[in-house]
Amino acid sequence: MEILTDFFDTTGFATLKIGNAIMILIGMVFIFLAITKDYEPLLLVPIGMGAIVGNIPVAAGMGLSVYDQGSVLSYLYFGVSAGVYPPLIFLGIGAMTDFSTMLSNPKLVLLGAAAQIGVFLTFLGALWLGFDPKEAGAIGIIGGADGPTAIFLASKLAPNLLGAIAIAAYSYMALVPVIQPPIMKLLTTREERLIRMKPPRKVSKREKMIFPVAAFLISTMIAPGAVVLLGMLFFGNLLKESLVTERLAQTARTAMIDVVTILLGFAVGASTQADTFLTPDSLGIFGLGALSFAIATAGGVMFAKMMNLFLTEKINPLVGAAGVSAVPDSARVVQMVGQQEDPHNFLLMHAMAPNVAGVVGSAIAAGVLWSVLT
Amino acid sequence: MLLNKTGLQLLAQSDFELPEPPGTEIANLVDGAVIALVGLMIVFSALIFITLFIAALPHILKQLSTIWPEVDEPVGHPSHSDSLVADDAAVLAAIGFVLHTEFQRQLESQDSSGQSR
Repeated sequence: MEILTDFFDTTGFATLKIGNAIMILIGMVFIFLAITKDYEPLLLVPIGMGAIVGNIPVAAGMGLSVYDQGSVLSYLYFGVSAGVYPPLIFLGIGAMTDFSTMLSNPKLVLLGAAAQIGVFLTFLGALWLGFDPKEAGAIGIIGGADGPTAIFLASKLAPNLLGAIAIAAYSYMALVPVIQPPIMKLLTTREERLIRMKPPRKVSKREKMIFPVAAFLISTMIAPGAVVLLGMLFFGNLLKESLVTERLAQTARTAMIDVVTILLGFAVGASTQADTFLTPDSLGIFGLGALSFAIATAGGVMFAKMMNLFLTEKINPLVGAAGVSAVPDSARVVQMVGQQEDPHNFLLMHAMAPNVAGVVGSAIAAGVLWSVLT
Repeated sequence: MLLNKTGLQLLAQSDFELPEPPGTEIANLVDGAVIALVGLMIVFSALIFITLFIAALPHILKQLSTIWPEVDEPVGHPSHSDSLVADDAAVLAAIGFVLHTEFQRQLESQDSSGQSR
């Protein structure tokens, strides 16, 4: 009987705290949203399941938790804490990305820069709320709307906030179709939303081959802190565009990115243990994250409107909202909002240009913050 | 402080040693505002340079194509399996041609022998 009593004391029923129960519930909500609403299922399912796994209370000394040295989960989490997974994901993204629309209309690249205002204003907001500069930098990058970049910078600047930052970044990325449209409509007139843009020109193979190498050199000479993320992004793109390494590109954009996404999502989820995650800081991070997405969206739209003051060929300001990266969700949102006004206006291809520029912009912003704050 | 971190600056140092990291005591919002402003300027400059490069690229390639014309065919060598398929088709065509010629010759010789009987 004593053995049974001792065993019961080690079970989850005896040791479960209210915080763990809340986190398990949050994990279930993530899985529910992914399955029923199709909100970023490739990420929310692994994160949700990871959160459930990470919040099962285990007896001390069993070495099962993410934070126990030598545990299996701690080895999986090493890829997150050491910033290994995000560059590998960038390699896969690079091998998937077609920069043609950006190459055919280079002025749209600037919208990807404008949206990064969300990163820097959120950085200021976090400082104002009392976070230390490194933590503020890591929180600010949520505004880049790029999960791997947010995880990479958080692992370097504020590992203690990594779980909350990763969850906030991916949650808001999943909520892009909810957050962005009201801001886009608020900041544009109907006439502006009806603007039709010239179809993109055909881009030569040679342009596509030269671009990744040249863009890498330009961006990392200016912001060397972005060398790992951008190096992998443009390497992946070179694999795709060189036409001689199709097998490698195929692996990078399919099997490899899938494996890393599973490990990253699950490990991040498992790191959200109630005692480290359910803190007032996490609430602040979630609040700032929502704010940063809103500011980034507004920044892109307003900059597009400003560009129209000087351009003869007007751009539809809605495409500015795609500068927040969140590839390709924000570009899809632009298409959706544009078609609500004019069902025959196809903005998706145009929106992909600031969208991929936003990926580069947020990586540069992360590099800058990392350089300055370490 | 930020300029000291650029790659050009690092390359310019003869011994390629990384510079000492700057102090991390950024105590107030004013310093934060300066970082935010300069950071945003760096992001803009990087993407403006990329924009200018992309805008200039077609003109550069136009000049380049006068000495090194672009071909539309894929650059890479055909893969092993592709080359096998292509070779197989050629070999099959050759075998078919030889068999057809041989059968034709045999038929003609049979016809001529039948006529001679």
